[in-house]
Amino acid sequence: MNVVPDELAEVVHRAAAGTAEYPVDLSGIERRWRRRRRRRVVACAAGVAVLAAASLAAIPVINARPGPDRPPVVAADPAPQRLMVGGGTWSPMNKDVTDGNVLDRRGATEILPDGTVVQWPLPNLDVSYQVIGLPDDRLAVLDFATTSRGRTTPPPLTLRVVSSTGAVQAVVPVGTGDTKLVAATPETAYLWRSEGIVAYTLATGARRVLVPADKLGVKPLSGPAADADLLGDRVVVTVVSGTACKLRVIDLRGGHVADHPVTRRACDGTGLLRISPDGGLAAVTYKPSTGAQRVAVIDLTTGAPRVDALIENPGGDDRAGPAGLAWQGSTRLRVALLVSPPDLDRTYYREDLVRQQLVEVG
Amino acid sequence: VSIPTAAKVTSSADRVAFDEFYSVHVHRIYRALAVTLGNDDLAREAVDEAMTRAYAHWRRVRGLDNPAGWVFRVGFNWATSWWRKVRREQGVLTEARHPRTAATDPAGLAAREALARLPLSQRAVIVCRVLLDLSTAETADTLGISEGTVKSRLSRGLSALRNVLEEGSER
Repeated sequence: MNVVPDELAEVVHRAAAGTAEYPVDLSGIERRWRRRRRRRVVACAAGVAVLAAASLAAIPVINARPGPDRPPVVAADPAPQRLMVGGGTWSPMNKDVTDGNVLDRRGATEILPDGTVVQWPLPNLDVSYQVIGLPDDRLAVLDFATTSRGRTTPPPLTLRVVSSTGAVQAVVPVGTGDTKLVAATPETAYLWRSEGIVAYTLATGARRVLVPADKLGVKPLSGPAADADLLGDRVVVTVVSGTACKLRVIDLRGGHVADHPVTRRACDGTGLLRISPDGGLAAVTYKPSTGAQRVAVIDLTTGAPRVDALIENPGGDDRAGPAGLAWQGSTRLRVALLVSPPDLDRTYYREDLVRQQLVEVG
Repeated sequence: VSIPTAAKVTSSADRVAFDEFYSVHVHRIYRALAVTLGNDDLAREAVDEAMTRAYAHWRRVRGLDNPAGWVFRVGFNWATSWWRKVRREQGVLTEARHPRTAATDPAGLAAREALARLPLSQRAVIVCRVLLDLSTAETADTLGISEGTVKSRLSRGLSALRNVLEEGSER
């Protein structure tokens, strides 16, 4: 994958062929170098003077950042959502892990829109982590120390912003307790904690409860697999009650709360949740009481079901299934799939068992 | 970009080698920069600047794995930093930095227009892969980014380019 299709390569070559001619002038290169050499001494002296003056006149400027007082906004031209594999579940960061004959290599795994699988480096910390891909190639990571030796209290959690090379660019301590990283922008991470949905400013660590827990009606990590997402004026959480799976939509402007069924079938539980970039739809994976896992797309305004599709599960053992959701625009949903190892006598890397399923939303 | 610290071209053998390098690569690097930057004049200046630096440090540059990639990178970095400075100073006049080419091929002009709508970072990766024929690892090294970022930018850039072309064909 990640090769350039012929028709697009042709476009690039055609663009290059349309450039104006380059006036070849090899002697001009040497003349330019000689001029530069003559100027060098003068330039160095001037540079020193300018630096000295600048250092005297420099005034530190600190940009005040606004607090995390609102969810991510619905952008007119939103960046494509990134499809991280297993980003919403705790994974060990600092070592390869073997699960049967499947080896999870250290690093965060992403599926690009063309199906290419990319492994992003993570810092070598002895922690377990959840991850969300930011639009600027960085990662928002929530982690806790895996080492429990001598510890009598729950491990503290930390938010980190990690560059595409694995460098840690920001560190925000967030305390202890059940926590799920549900959304993030380059400026703010949104955590679901016992007190509700809490926004953390990544630059300063400032925090604010956006939606208190009593409004949500469910606790983080409660039920078979609760998830949440937020965008614009809406917070959505999954709620499982008996054999009914629902989406709870909370309007942050008026405080109105609406429950929409994920499916009319008897339902064992929900899994992943992701709001579309325009804020109008939500995709949610669920497990009917009979049959394989499915993905539903629900209109968040009316509650109307838009899609109810079977999730592909080649092989079909317990380690296979949906592992991530991302919208490509508001009419196509990408579902990350972990498929079963085809040969039980061979060891596979996890990224070799990652696929994406495309679901079109009419 | 760290410039290797070595002497400029001194011997006649060095001069011959530099001349050959220049004549073989200068058009390709120039076109790559022109498409990346969307500005032929700026690309010409960038190539001149980068080739001058290559000339000044030729013994070290010729020993690199990919001297043409190094020249592209130097030119690209010089142009974008220079460009940033100009954009700060010119403000709303920045649209004037895109002089149109004298291309007589309408498809060529359309192709440049389409590429010009992509972010600079994605355009640079596409150009390195297609016009300079660099591998993912070489592109990462040339642009000073990780291989993952190269893959990511290439994927997003191609997807965006396809969308732009489809929009154009629907009009």
